[in-house]
Amino acid sequence: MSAPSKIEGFVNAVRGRLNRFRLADSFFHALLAGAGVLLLISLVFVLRGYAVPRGWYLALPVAILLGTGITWMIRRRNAEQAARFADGFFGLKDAISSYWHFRNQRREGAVYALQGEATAARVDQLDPESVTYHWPRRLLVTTTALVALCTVLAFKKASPQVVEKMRVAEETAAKTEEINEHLEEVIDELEKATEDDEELSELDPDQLREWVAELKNTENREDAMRQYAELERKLQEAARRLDQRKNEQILAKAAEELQKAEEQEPRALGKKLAEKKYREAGEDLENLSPEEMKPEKLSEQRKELAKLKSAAQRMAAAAKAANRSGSSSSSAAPSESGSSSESQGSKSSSGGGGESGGQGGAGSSGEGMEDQLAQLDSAVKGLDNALKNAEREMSQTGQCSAKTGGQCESQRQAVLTQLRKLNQSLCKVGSSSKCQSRLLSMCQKLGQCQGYLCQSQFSSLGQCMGSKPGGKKAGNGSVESRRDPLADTPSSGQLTQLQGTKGQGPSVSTVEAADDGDGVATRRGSAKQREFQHQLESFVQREDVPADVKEGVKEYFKQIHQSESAEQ
Amino acid sequence: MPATEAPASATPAEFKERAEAFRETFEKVRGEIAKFIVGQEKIVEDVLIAIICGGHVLLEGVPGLGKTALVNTISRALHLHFRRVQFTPDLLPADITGTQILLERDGKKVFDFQQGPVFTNILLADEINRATPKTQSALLETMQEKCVTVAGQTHSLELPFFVLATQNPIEQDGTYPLPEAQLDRFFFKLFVEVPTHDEFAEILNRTGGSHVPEIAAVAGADDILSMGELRKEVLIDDEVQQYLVRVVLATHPENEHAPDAVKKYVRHGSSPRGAQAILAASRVCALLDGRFHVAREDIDRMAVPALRHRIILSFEGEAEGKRPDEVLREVVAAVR
Repeated sequence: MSAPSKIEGFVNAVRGRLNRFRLADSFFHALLAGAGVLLLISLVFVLRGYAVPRGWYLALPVAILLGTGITWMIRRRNAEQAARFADGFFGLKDAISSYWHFRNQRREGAVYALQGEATAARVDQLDPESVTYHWPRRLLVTTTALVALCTVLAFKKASPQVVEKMRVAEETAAKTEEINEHLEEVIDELEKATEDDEELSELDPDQLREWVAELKNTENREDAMRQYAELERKLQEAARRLDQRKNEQILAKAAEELQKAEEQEPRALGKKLAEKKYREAGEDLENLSPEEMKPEKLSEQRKELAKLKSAAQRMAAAAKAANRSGSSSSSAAPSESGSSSESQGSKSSSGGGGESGGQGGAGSSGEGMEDQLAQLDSAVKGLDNALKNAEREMSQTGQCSAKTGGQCESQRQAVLTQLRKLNQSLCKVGSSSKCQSRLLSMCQKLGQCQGYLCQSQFSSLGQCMGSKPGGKKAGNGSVESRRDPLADTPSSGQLTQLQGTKGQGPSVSTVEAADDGDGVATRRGSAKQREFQHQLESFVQREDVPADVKEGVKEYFKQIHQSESAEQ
Repeated sequence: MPATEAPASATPAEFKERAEAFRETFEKVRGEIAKFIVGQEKIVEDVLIAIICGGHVLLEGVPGLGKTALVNTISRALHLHFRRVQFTPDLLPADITGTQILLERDGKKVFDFQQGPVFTNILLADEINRATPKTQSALLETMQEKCVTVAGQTHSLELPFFVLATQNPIEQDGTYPLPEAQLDRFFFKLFVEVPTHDEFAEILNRTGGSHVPEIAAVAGADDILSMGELRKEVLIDDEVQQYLVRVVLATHPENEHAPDAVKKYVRHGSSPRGAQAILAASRVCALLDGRFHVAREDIDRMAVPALRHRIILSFEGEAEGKRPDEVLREVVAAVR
C-alpha cells in the first residue's frame, strides 16, 4: 500500500470514529436541550394550572432527532480536522495535517515524498481504534433528571378552575357561533318582513349584514360581549337616527284634536293617526283635497273645504300646543331629574331648535311637522278666503272674474302642494317609525343573545329567546321610575300644575323625603326605584368613571326604556 | 513555489541519507562536548543550533559557569578556530576588527591590514556590555555582515563565523547595556543556570584531577555549512507558518490577539528577524527529531530563546519584575 493511501485510510478511519462520537454527542446534547425545553413548557402549563398537552411529548422525539441531525451535519469533522485531531491524539507533531495540506496544494518533490513516507511509516504503527469515546456522564445524569421531571409533570392534571375556564371558552365559542348565525337569520327575517322600498332603504339590511359579518366567533367571553355591545350601540345609533318621536307626539296631539271634530272625515283621520296608520291617514288627507273651482258650486265647495279647514286648524293648533309643552318640559327637565334626564330632554327638545339626527329629516322638504301643519292651515284659510270672495263676487255680479278665479286656483294649488308634502311626511314618519321599531326589536334580540352568552342556565338560544327580555329587575325599576315626558301629558294650560312638578307640591316633597329614607316603609317600591335611579345618576356623575363606560350605562337604561315602549 | 522546495535533482533517499548524517554529526558533537561540559545540555543544543543556522548567541550568566570552556570545547569539537576578547571600556573598534599599519616592503612604505581577533570562526566576546557602544556596534556590524571594511577595503570573514557574547547579570555599574537594535542581531539569548549538586560534583571530578578529557574534532567547518544548507530544505506547512506569524505578532501589545500579559507588560514586540530565527531553529529541531517538516512544537520550543531579547518590557513589567520568558510562555499558550 502506498504512503498516500495509508495516510488517507488512517485519516478516514479516525474521521469515521470521530463522527460517530460527534453523532452520539449531538444526540445527548439534543436530548438535554429537548428535555430542558419540554420541562420549561411543562412548567409554564402546570404553573398556570393546565395539563401539559400530549402533543409536546410527541413532538419531543421528532425535535430531538431533527436537532441531532442538524447539529451533527454542522459539527461533523472533515478530513482536515480529523488529521489535526490525529496529530494531537497520537503525538505526530503536525505530520498528518502537514502532509494533508501539501497533498491538497499538490506540492511535489523529493522532500515532500520523504515527508509522506515518514508520516506513513509512523501512521502504520498506530491503531485508529485507540481513539475511544468518553461518555459525557454529567450530561447524561442531567438529561435523565430532566426527562424524569418531564415524565412526572406529564401526569399532572388540569386544575378545576382551568377545566371550568376551558369549558366556558368552548361554550362561548359555540354560543358566539350560534348567535352570529341567529343574527344573520334575524336580518333576513327583517328584510323579508319589510315590503316597502322606502322602509327597506332606511333599514339598510346590507349595512346590518356587514356589521354582523364583522362579528367573530371567539372563546373569550369579554371579547364576545364587547363585540355584541358594539353592535348594539351601532343598532341603537341607527335607530336613534330614525327617531320620529317629536313628530309622533305632534301627530298624536293632532289625532286627539281631530277626534273632537264634529265632521266625520276629520274624526276618521284622527282615529287613523291615533292608530299610527300614517300612510292611510295621508291618503285620507289627500282625499280631502279641494276640487277645481266651479263658480256654480262654490257653496258646496266651501262646505267640502270646511272639513279640510277644520282638520287643518285642529292639527295646527295641536302642533302648536305640543311644541309649547315640549319646550316647557325641556326647560323643566334638568331641574327635576338631573343628568339622567338631560339626554331625554335633549331628545324632546331636539325637534324644536338644535335638532340632531333623524328628527330634522322628518319632513321631506326639511321643514318640521309643525310648520307643515301651520302652512296647510294657512293655505286652507287662504283658499277659503278666495272662495269666499268668489262667492261674494258671484252674488254681486253673477259671475266670477278671471282674477278671482286665478286667486282661487293659485290658493288651491298651494293647498294641494301642502297636502302632498304632509302626505310624504306622514309616510316618512310611518316608515321611519316601523324601521326604528324593527331595529329596536333587533336590539332587544341582541340583548337576549347577550343574556344567553352570559347565563349558563339556557341550554339553547331558542330557550333564551323565549324568556322575558330585558335586563335585571334593577333596570326595569329604573325605567319605571322615570317620569314620562311632559310632552305626553295633556297640556291643560294650568301653570300651577306645571310648577307643581318642579317640587313645590306636597306629594313631591313626600317622595323626596322617601329618598332620604323616611318614606321607605310606605312607598317601598317607589323608593327602591328611586334608589336605583340615584345609583345610576351618582354613577354617571362620578369623575373616576370613564366617559365611555358612563355612556354604556346610559345606553343600557335607554335601551330598556325603548324596548318597553316598543312593547307597549 | 515555496521557499522550501527541494531541488529537482535530489532524491528522497539522498535527503534521508543527508538527514541521518545531520543527526549523526550533531549527536557526535554534542557527545564530544558532554565529555568536558557537565550538564547544560539545553544550552549546548541551542548553541549548536545557532551555529548551524549561522546565528550568534548572547549568553547571560554569572562568571565561572563555564561559558569560555563551552566555547572552547565547541571549537575543538568542530575543529574551528577560536579567539576570545575581553571587552573593557577602553577597547577600541580597531582592537576587534583590526587596523592598517605602515610597513616598509621592498623599500616602499605601504599600509598593511592587520587582522583583529574577529577574523576567526568562533569569537568569544566576554562581557560585551563593558565596552563602549562604539566598540559594541563595530562587532555587531561585523556579526551581521560577516565582513570587515577598513580604509575602504572590505575583508570577508571565514565561514562559519560565530560570536558568543557573554553578559554578567550582576555588577551592572560602569556597563553599557546593548541597545535593542543590537540585541536584535543575536539569534538566541541563553541563560546559563547554576549547576545542580550532582553537576557540581562532576565538574570538580573532571577539572580537579590531572586527567583532563580529550576533545576530539568530530566535525569540521564544511560539515557545519552543509548542515546549514540541509536545514533550509525542511518543509513547513502554511498553517504552521501562520501559527509562527501569530506567535510573533502576539508579542506586540497593540495586536488584537495579544494576551493580557503582553498588553500589560510589553512595550515593544519582536521584529520579523525574530520570526526568521524561530523558523530556522525550528527546522533544525525538526531534523534532529527525524522529521522533514516543522511542527508547532518546534516553534513553541524555539520561541523563548529566539524572542526573549527581542521584546521590551514596559515600565510596569520592569516594576513588577516580570521576566520575558513568562510573558512568552503566555503568548504561546494564548496562540496555541
